[in-house]
Amino acid sequence: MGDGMTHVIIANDLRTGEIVYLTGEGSWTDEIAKARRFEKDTPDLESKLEEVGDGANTVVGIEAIALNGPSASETPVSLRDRIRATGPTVRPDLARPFPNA
Amino acid sequence: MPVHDLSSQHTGLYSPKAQNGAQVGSPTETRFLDIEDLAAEINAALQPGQAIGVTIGPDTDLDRLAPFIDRLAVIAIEFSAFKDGRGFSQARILRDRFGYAGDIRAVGELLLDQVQFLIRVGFSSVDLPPHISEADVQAVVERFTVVFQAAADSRRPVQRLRQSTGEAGV
Amino acid sequence: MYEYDTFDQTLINQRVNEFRDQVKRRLSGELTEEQFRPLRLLNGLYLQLHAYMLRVAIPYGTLSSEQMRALAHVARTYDKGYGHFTTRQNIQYNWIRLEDAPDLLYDLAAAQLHGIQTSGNVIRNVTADHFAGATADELDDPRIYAELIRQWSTLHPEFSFLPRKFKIAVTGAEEDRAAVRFHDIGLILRRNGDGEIGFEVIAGGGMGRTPVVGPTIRKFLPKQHLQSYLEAILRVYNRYGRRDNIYKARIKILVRDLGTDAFTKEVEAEWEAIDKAHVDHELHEEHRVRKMFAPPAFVTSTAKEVPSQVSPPDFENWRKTNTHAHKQSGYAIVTVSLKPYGGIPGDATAEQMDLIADLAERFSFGEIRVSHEQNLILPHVEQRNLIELWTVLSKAGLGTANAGLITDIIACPGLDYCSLANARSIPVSQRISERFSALQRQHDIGELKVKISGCINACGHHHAGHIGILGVDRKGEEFYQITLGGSGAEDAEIGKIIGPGFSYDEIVDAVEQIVHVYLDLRQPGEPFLNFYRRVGAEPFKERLYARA
Repeated sequence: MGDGMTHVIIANDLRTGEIVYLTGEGSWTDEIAKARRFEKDTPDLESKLEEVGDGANTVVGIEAIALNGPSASETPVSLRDRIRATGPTVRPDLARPFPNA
Repeated sequence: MPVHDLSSQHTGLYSPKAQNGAQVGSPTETRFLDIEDLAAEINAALQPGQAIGVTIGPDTDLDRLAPFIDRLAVIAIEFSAFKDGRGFSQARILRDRFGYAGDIRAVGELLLDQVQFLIRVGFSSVDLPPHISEADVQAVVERFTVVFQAAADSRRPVQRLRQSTGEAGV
Repeated sequence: MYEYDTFDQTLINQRVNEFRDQVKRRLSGELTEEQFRPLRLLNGLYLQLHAYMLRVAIPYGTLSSEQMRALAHVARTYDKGYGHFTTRQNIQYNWIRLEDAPDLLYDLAAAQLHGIQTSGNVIRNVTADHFAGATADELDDPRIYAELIRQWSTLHPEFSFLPRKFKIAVTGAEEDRAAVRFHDIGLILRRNGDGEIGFEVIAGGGMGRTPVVGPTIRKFLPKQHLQSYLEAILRVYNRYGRRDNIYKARIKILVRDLGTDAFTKEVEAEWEAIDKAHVDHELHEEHRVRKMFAPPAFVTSTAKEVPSQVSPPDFENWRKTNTHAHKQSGYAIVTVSLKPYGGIPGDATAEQMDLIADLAERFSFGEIRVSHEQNLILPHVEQRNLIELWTVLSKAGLGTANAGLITDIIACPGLDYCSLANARSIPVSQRISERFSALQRQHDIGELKVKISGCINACGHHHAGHIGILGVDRKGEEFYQITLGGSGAEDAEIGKIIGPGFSYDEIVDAVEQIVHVYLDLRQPGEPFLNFYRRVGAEPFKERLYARA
């Protein structure tokens, strides 16, 4: 994670399983636009991951994902993260659009 | 951690050779030894009627207990992780093959939900974290009223109930 | 078909109550995720990339129309209108809410269905020949024994925390459609010299990272000792299987490390010591189960009444590939393809499930099977009804005439859904399917099993594919390794890697090249697998890597 890329923290909502992102206020949102960006801030990201992981009672499957590019066209770097964020590539009808993706 | 007595949960142990095993002593009278020292100390140290217990691991060779198994009031089987199911087979073998009728206690990392299985393979007591109450244990024990295989307890598997009632339920 | 009595029903009802309580404790925070995870897995509930996934057990792949409707109801009510039939003869739903799961399981329980032991380190849902009870080449109906195993293994107190998952498959036929040599235990019904029925017992087969064609450890086990012998194998495995390394924890590694002979000796010694009368099944129970699998009331008088008008060629093509000889004259076993060209292998919509339930009632005594090749089977269809059945299926997108052909591809969910996957499987299968969709060409190619896995766990059975494709991650890119010559049938074999992998864009061309080599060089009537066994990998390598 020390790659200097922008990260967001992604998870599944405990009750519904739906994809959510950590906001700056420490709550979880299903809108990527409202997700907190961790800019080249690795120690902060790691401590945040640990903090939300401990006794997580609202979300599961917590991970940091790296984003590509300037914020205008940002998308998750890895295919896995892209699919996790946007939905199965074989069911475009079920896609969760990732803004600018 | 508190020890829960599971023996009242049995309707009796299945034990074809249930002549072995000492009387169950109360926990305060039981002195635990390391199995490495057991053979040496066992017969020398004991007063007549005094009970001892032993803690064994999931991979302990059970044949090592055979020479003095009738002096053991408690055999505690250690679970290093709840996922490590070897202790279930250890208990089963102690009951079915060694005919051990003393207390078999589950200690270590265990989940409340495992208690139903512990009883079935022959455990008669379990050491659980303090926040778990007797009522919690009772609820788990009562959860399933039917079993589908014969084990080390005396519960009759469904197919034998089907036979004895002479009907296939409904 | 097997139907629950009050005992069976009681257990799954109590299981739903237990799970409802566990979910409540999880949502209230009383259970941590670490504590809850194994409990939800024991009910088939996974966390995948997008949501929770629920796997529902379909014991030995047998379903009634009623049960199929219940599966449709779940797809419609709790998911996004579809389900995915798996290579383990199960169905899984991809979009389940944890808070709904207890209600979902409650609804399923009313149809005698559940998710028990479809995940976790336990004895998994038992599988069997999907043509059982219908095929002509059968010694005895494997579902009888599979049902005994289902009962015996359900919440087995000693074997619920094994080193790793444990899969048992049973077949009673000459042709192995259950891939028994790729299971932790495989059972083949056999008759001994005295005419008694029993099992050839295979142990330690499997796919995954270390594929093994399981060795036979006992040539003949009298059928009445099935349960005690399974207990002996499981106890040896539970005690001595490795727990320090997840990749070495399956029984195949234990069998390999000990050697087949030493392992067998351990099992036999354990079996010797077991009180068999205590553990083995009761004969009356076997009879009770057998009665429920009695053949349906076949009609014999109409056997010769085949429609007189000329059948459309499309129907004839379908009949050629999607029907199989039935033991009862005048009947056929029908494979309903879940592999439309360019479609997602194994997916079915709620509407399709309902339709198949209706068709099973009309044409197949209300009986349906799920095959490990991710198709559905109507096991008992009168031949005179085939054309009508085909007409209805075709209108619903279920009449693809490709069973056993190159477009009848097995694919795991892959990276599109699965959190373990390294690469996508489904779109690769879709593109191959589209490339070869011309039916004449498929018939010209003949039987060719393509199997695709999105990671080394091999849920797509690539090791057993005539052409196997394994997706890997190479520096963030999807790459696909090709194996050739695998077989999951009675001539079980593990496919061999042909050479360096291909990119997502190259893989379909590579498959086509392989097919061209075969078409160019085969002898008349020689199937692909025979061809490969005769000529080996060289001609394929030459064509695939010539330019490099």
